[in-house]
Amino acid sequence: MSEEKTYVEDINRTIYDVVDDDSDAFKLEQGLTEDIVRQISEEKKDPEWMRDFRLNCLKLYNRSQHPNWGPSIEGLDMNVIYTYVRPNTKMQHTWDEVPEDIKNTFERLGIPQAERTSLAGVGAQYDSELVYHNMQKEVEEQGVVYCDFESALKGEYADLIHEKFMTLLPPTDHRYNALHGAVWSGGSFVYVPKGVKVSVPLQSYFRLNAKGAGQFEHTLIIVEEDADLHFIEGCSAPKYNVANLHSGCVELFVGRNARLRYSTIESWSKNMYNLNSKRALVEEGGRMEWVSGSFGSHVSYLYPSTILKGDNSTMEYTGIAFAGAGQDLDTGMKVVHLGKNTSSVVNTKSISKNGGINTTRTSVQVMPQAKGARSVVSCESLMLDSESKSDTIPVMDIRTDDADVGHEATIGSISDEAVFYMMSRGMSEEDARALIVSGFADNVSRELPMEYAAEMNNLIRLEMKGTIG
Amino acid sequence: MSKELLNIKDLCVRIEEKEILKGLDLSIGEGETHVIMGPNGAGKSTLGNTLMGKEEYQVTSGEITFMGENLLDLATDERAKKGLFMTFQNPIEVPGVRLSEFTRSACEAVGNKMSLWNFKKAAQEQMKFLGMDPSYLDRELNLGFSGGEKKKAEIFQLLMLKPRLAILDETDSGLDVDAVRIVSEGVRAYQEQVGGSLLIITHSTKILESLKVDRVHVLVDGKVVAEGDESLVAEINENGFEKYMKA
Amino acid sequence: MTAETIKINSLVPPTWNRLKVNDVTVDMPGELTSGTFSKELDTAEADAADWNIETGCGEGLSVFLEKNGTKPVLVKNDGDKLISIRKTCEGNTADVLCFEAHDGETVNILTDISSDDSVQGACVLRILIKAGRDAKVNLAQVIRPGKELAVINDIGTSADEKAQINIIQVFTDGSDIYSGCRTDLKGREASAENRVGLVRTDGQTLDMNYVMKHLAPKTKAEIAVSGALSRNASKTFRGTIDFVRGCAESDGAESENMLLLDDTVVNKTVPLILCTEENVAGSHGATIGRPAEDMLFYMMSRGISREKAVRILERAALEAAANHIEDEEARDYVLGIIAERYSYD
Repeated sequence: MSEEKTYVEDINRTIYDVVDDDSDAFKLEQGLTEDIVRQISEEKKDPEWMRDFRLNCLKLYNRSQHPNWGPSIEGLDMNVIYTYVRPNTKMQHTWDEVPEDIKNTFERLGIPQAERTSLAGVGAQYDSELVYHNMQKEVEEQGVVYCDFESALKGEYADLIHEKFMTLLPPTDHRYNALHGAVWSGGSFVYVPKGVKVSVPLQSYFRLNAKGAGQFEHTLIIVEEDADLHFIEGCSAPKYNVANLHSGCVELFVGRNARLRYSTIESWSKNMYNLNSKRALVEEGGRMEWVSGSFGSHVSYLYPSTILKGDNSTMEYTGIAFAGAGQDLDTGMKVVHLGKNTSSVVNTKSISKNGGINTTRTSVQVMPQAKGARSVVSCESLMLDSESKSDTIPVMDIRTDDADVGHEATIGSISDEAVFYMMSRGMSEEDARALIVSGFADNVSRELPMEYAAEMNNLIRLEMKGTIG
Repeated sequence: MSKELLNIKDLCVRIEEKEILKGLDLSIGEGETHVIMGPNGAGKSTLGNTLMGKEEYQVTSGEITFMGENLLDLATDERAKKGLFMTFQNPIEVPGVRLSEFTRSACEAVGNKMSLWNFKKAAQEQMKFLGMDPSYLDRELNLGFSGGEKKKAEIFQLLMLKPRLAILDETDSGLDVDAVRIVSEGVRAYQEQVGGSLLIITHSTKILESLKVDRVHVLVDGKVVAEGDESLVAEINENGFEKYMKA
Repeated sequence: MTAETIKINSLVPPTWNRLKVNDVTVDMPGELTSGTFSKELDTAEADAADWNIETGCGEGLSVFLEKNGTKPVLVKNDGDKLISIRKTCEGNTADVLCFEAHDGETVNILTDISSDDSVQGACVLRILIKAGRDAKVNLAQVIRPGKELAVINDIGTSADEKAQINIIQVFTDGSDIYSGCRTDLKGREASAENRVGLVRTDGQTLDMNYVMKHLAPKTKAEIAVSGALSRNASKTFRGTIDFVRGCAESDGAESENMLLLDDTVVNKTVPLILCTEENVAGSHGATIGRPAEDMLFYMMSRGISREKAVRILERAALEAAANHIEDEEARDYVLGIIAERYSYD
């Protein structure tokens, strides 16, 4: 235990920034053509329907436009992004068989330690492919499936996947769903059978190593009736001076009276364009919980959305975004209330410093049939200086009288009084400000398992260093 | 007189354009307890905030030395590390930061390091001593605390941080009889256990009843206009400040 | 000039298109005549270049008015004597009225737009306001057109140091109403208030775009909307508090309190807070839903029918805004209109 603790306390950005040599990796050409999509499909030995799906998505992508709102993605040229980079290894189920350089990267990130101490299963994706996958025997014996997406497409639940794949996030929704549909690779499939409660979290870790590459993993989770799962996702990449792109899709199906918690700590490097889509569909009495910490990336578009379809279904979203120099983070959430007596509770926080830009974009829709819907949204922004920018853009669209909707947004700065109070007890100004910011972020860290909360607090401390003077 | 700890000479302080302290002199020895009394607006709280180095309090002239060292060049946290402590009249609420977490960071900052286990033990003892539920340790700093709980939480930090000189800024104001008793017991424990010095700023006398006081200073319009021993407290209690204000 | 479709009330910055809140399109009839509102007033020509003030409806309307040849007219004020502009509209009119409160002056304005149910077409009224140092402008508006007249009510204001601009509006009746209001708080310690009371029913719509721009230190602004929707009515409220870099110690707040009376209504609320300054306080609060049952129960326990109780709440929402009108004559007038409207209860 003491060893893991040391790891957590000693964390610093350098562990994310170590670059592995990717010269042995298999890369497809840059850019996006029908040939490349066909090659990816062949490489991955897709079933026929998937190959056709990909080609269809490519057509949609070529016809689509970048949205007319949100941060600029001028620095992203799809013609120079590698859409597919396969590391030079097969997927392993024991840690020892993972190649040395890749293993070192994940060990620096603490993945195997975390697995040993607090996780039921781990998947680790390196560039476009999963390189490691393992799950505790007891969990497997309960009928839980947690595997890489390619195996899943050929496994027991192949038909189920065919039925569900990109139905929550249709490629027609927007340009980056279409792109994802054309070139997706890697990711995880999780199936939790009826009544099974997985007591410890499953985790996926995504690492994008290759320079100028894109990562397009697909995550599909089905939590059947009365089942329970906590899934954790971590992301990082080393810093390059060229653009990298992450455009994953996460589709979550939460069954009757089931519960799914989806936690993300994202610390992509600051050359990353993170255009990610996540959506959950919740059946009667089901519960979706999102916990989201966004620290990295150059530009982010990220709005986990929830469709409360079943009566009495509920959603809770807890998120924080921290934007520093050169970062333009457009984050938030969307929820649609369809079922009766559905409820959503949203708590977002954003911190802007050193010229960083935060936009908190939310939407709450309550449809006429959603009698008895309740929604509470709270958005808090903290500005650490006057070079930065913080915008809050909420929309509420309410179409029934039988709804109770509340919304609160505040913007503010660290009070000099609070800093003085802490300094009067012996803390340096830097520590006092860091502690206040950690306190501000407490809503998220409280929701995370201890190891992750500690990692998040370290990320904050790291970000807060040198913000004075 | 015991060895000198704090020495203030001819101190003038202003906030924005307004002069508040107008040539104040004060000297406190190690282990001594001094009381500053005075009517509202005399500059009592200005003195405390100036000693802690609050930004908007501009020292226009005069000196402050602490253990022979010039205090005025030091930032607030450096003053705390030297052994100064002030209880706030209105302790700041800090969301998300727990009382225990904060106090432990402060203890470490002022060089009062202990293991987590020892810290917890000590913290719980002090909470018990102050009649506070130990669950307050896990509550967010001062958030939703009643007036009395806030003051007790300040005394709790005093006992945990063990400073050389504690400035109590109107710690007894707005408290009921029981809370005053507990706070003054806490202050006495500090006198006895830590042996530190005290500068008690107050305009009432309730808190002083059970404390040993070495010297009383009467502050009116930014200056010390009278000094004396403990008996001065009783006198002011009886006659108020009128006679000094006319002077 | 031929009929055309214009885009007004644009949200800056925009958000998801599928929510249909980024702007609103309005079909404008052909030529609109000027003069309806300025007829009986003491006016002078206004130099358009002097009155280049941005408004809530924005560029789309400005371009249209320019093509239409609508000229701004300066309305002179006689001390703080109420300038009362009450008009029964004939349809297809467009007017731009300019008001100026010089340093230290107070100007009180009342407008009342109504029309017969038979009148069709559109009525455009744009009001531009300049408030000098320590000046104060109080504008009270009642907008209650007949069944067929579309109204575009658009305001642009600019406030110098310590100036105050208070705008109180009451919207009832009509069919489609579009309302824009933008305030530029240009001078230190300038302050502004927008208070809106609205009742929409029977398929009526109201599309609003209100912007408070904090451009100087210690400026203060508040937007407060209260109202009720029933029977296929819809309302979109865009409210933006924009803290521009340099506006340290400014304070902006917006709040909305909407009663939804059945499940045929559409209530959209888009309360933006934009910020490029550290030392400010901005807040938004919204409460949207049906009337509290315990409140209805309380009234019903005193013998009031449920329908009547709901109308009492509607009236209260309008009066919540109207009670803030500072000028006594204007306040009595607006409260009188509200009282008359609910008199048959």
